[in-house]
Amino acid sequence: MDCRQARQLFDAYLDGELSPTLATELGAHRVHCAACRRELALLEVSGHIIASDRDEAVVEDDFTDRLLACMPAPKRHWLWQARRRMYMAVPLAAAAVVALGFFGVFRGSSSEFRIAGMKVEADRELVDSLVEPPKVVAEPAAPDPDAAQVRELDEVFRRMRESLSAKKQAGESVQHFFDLSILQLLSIVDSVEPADDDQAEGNADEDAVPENAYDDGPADDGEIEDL
Amino acid sequence: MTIPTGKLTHEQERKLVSRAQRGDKAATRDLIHLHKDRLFAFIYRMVHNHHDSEEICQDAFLKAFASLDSFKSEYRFSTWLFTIGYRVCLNRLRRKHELTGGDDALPMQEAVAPADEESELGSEEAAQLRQVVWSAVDKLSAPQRATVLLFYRHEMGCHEIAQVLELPVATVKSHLHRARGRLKDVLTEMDVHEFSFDRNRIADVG
Repeated sequence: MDCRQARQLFDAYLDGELSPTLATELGAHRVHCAACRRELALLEVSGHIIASDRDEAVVEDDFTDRLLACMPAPKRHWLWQARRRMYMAVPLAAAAVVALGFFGVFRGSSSEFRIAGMKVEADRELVDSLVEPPKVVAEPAAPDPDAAQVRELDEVFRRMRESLSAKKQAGESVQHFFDLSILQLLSIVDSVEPADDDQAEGNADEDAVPENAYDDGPADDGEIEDL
Repeated sequence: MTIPTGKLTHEQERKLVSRAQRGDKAATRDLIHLHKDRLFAFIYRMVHNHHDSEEICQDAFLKAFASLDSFKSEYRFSTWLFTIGYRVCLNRLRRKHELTGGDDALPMQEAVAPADEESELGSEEAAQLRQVVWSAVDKLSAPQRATVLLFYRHEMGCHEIAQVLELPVATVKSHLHRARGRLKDVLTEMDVHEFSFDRNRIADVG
């Protein structure tokens, strides 16, 4: 091995990547060549100084605390988010059940009909109570600004009861009848003008959910510990 | 949870990172505690300013934890953290380069208290040699300096250094080769051959 070949192996030797055979060859050359011995010694000593110098700058003791104080709140775990969504879903589901129940009662004229695509058994007593309403003692009516619309609704209900009674006696299906009745009632409700537009809009704004309302949970650090 | 100051196994580190990803503050604190000193030491050797080093170190940790979800567990957390730290460091040096109009000379090292009495025991020759070597390291380009520091002081292999510096392994080896050549030239120019490089003297230097 000559000096040129030996120098080509210096890096591999210093990186610890030289095979035992080549390391022996290099060692043999080093013993006999003062120039290569000196050059390798310079490389080794500089590496040794860099590796073993004990003077080291150290970070301040309170670095960790200051760093943690700068960090934003950790992201919520997906289980926490799922639980939060579930809490939000419960009142919505309850509202949906109440709404379906209302339509169920209103449309409960047949022993079996559909609500939102689901088959539902109707209570025959509810149908009968609608056909034969309980007798109510008439009271002097208070002055009502919407008296005309109330009378109109009363008239619709009266006609519905008469028609339903006739169909029931004749043994006919009442499904189509209720569909038409609901449409008629909705058209009346839609025709009613809101009493105060500004107030209605104001209420709508108050109920509006901000787009990012569910992005950040409450600042309750203890929650995540439970998961 | 108290983490021993020794090195974590890859599996222990993976679990710690996983807990930090789930928002566990104690795990986050442990990760900072485990890596802050090494990262700070590396950055300080790169910029030679305590205040800047602390800012870069803090920035690196903040960036690392902000994108912890993207951390791949097959890598070591330290490698990933050093990658971010080096990138922040490089950006800072480039900005400084633009501000100073290309004067890249690093400031003189701030006085660092010796870690223990042993480092004061070396001879005057050893202290002079140490100063010459570190002065030569400071004159290397940033990638060469980083390569040398990661290789010798942080005991990283060329593959890990390549990950940290986001360079091919061959480039890292080239940086190391050029840096060694530069160090050898500086030592030769400074007539350091007057020193005797026997093993005992080298041990004194450390």
